[in-house]
Amino acid sequence: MHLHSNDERAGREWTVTATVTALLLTACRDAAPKMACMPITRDEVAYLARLSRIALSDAELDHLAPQLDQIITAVAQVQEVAADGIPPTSHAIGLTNVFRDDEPRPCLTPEAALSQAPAVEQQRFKVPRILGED
Amino acid sequence: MELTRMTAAELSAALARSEVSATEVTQAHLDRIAAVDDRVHAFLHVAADSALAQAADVDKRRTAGEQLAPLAGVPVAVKDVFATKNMPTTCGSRILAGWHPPYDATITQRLKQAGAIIIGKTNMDEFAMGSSTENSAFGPSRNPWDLAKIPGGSSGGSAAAVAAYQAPLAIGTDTGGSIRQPAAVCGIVGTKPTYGGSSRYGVVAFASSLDTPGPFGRTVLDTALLHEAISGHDPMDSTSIDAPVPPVVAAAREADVSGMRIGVVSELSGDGYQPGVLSRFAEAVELLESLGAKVTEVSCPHFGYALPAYYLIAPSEASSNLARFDAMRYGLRAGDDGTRDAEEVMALTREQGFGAEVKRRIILGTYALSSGYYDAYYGKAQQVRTLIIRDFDAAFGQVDVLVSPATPTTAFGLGERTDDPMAMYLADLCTIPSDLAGNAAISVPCGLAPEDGLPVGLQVMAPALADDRLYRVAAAAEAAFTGRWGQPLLASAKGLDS
Repeated sequence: MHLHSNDERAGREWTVTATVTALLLTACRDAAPKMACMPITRDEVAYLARLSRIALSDAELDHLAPQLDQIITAVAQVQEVAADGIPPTSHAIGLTNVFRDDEPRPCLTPEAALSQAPAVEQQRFKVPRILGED
Repeated sequence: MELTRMTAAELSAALARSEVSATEVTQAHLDRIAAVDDRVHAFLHVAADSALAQAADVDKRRTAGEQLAPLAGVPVAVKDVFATKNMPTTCGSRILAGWHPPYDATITQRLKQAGAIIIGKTNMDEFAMGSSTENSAFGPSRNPWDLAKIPGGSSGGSAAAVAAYQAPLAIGTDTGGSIRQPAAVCGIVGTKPTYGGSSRYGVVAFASSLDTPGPFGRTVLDTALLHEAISGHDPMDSTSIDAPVPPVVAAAREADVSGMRIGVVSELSGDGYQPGVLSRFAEAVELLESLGAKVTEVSCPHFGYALPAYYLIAPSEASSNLARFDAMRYGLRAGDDGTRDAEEVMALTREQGFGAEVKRRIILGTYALSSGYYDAYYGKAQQVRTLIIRDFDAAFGQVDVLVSPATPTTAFGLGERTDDPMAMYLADLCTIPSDLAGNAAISVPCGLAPEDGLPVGLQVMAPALADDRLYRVAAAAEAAFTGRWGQPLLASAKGLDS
């Protein structure tokens, strides 16, 4: 057996936290120059949450805003790559449109399609009011 | 031999010779789940009744003399991201709690057609976003090597189920490493097939240009058997590749690397990597060389930017994909008391139904795609994606496969990174490049890190549609390592022995 022994383990104290901190510091330091590392504000996060249709609480906003700021600072590293003239890739394999013959095929029954709906009325999805009163 | 300790290949042979029935095999695994899953929490749903019904059907067909597929009667655990008809499918999220899909994912269908027994649905990070299963709305799974450690993620329940002998095989999905990272930290085998090689139809979408279903097993051959069973063109998935399935099972049986050119990626090493991970990786490379492979070092200069590019691309796609959870047609609906309009109900539902990481990523993606930031973030990330693909192309011009550690560290402690998203994201440092490029990659155990006695994974990466090369290399390494250790690595896992 060439697996570990407890003696081997004891001698070399090493923590994951050290690794993580080292990598993270590299990420933030490298991200800092060139483009403005725009700190994202609490108000901006609130606006993005509204766009995303998530009714965040104040406590969540307080918690999320600094985290997002940290993440955005780290991912901003992509801006330091010399990419002039490099075409973007949206998809790893060459995508072409896929067609099929327009033939009737079996599909879900109305009952099956509606079976998981939060509310149903007259064989339709029943949804809350969509248009405002004014 | 105990049925739960047998490999899928051994079970398949014993079932074919009618030495054991599918019902006995299924019951043995259900018993094992009942005995250990309160500690491992690999499963969100154990499908005892339907599994036994499926097993009885397989037994009946075999008795009638029908020729059955290799996996007929072999249990498979399925990640809860795959739609399973009339069986709960939650994706680890409160927003889908109680949802019973009215249809099967293509892979679910293929498993059923092959006679594989769907034994249950496994735990995962919510919507496959995470590296530890701690983002599951239903509590984390635990690593069978040490119950205080994470099993990896997002397919952590699938990996833990296989490592804890609750199922010989499992299915997961890999978007940034969600199969290979849990396989590595649980000491088992896991493959991300070529993108488009396995169908996404009926897989709840996270990042559609990256999501790739794939297999887990305790051996390389088992993993290949499942890979073959689930792969192949699917007209229901417009990004499915219409090409023959690479000969993965034959490659796993050959297990020969003599004359193969293997490239060690210089950028996936060095600072920030756990020393014991690097030493086990170095041993694996020496081993492959001793088996006749030609090893060289290869530089992929843009791999350092894969992680930031991924954390722009994946959240951007997620912010769009998860817009479907709108409380109108299925899933949770909150606050619909007659006074609120649809938009308010939607926002309240998503607030209550999504967990913190999902909200973080939706907001991050919304930011990266918003006008004014699009070019600086999403656009730039897409250019980096091109450069990473070019790095791979250049590398595969020189070598047949690339190798690296599968993860920078072994399994970390539960709770250790939950409030530090960037630290959590680093778990996928080595696996992300293959997702961005859409090629194939595997993680196979290569020993235990001396510092903590936890498993280390060797990652092998191959060009798109050359998935068979992964199995050739992984099987050769597995055979040589097992010979050296005197037993499979997993035999030394003691987390459930108390």
